[in-house]
Amino acid sequence: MNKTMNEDLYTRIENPVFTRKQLLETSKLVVLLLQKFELFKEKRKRRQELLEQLKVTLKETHDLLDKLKKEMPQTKIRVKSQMPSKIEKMQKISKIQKIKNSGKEDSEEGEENQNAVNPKNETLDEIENALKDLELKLKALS
Amino acid sequence: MDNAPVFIKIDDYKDVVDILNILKAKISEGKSFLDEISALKNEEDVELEQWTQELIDVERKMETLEKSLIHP
Repeated sequence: MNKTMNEDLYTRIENPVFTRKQLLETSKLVVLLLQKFELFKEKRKRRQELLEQLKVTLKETHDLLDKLKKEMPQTKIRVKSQMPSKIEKMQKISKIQKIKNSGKEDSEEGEENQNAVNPKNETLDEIENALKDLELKLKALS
Repeated sequence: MDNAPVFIKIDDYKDVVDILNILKAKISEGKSFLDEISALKNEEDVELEQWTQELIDVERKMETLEKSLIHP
């Protein structure tokens, strides 16, 4: 029984040259795909760098606009008196939302818990608040 | 009253013009970044499409190989 188990078995390949060719061609295709993948990774990296640069440029533009705003003369063209209360109201709503969100995140573990202290989320909140303020000011001027 | 003209000190005005020029340059810079990002994204999309086709080719060749090796 053992003797038969140890014996080598052979199968017939009808067209060995063709099979070998197919095997080599497939292998070549896969290697080419791997090569393209490496180039693709470099492109992704470049795109990521450009996105970072774009972010910096936008931040600088934002700062310049702030500076421009400060250069403008102080006049009575201001948001009407009821606006601070509206802004306060919006900020209160934003704070309540933040508390609600943090409450949800506290109940969950792991990655979502990390998001609660994620500075990116804070930045997003700040941007959203700034946007709301600007919209309110624009509304008051129109 | 709100629409009454306002006057800016000439020194401040120079600053304003300078800031506006820098702002224009920054916007132009941002646009060129976006153009490049967009071009790269298009290239990536084309490559992904090609990969799909090439993987199908690999799959076909594998099927042929399988036929000749496993089901001769």
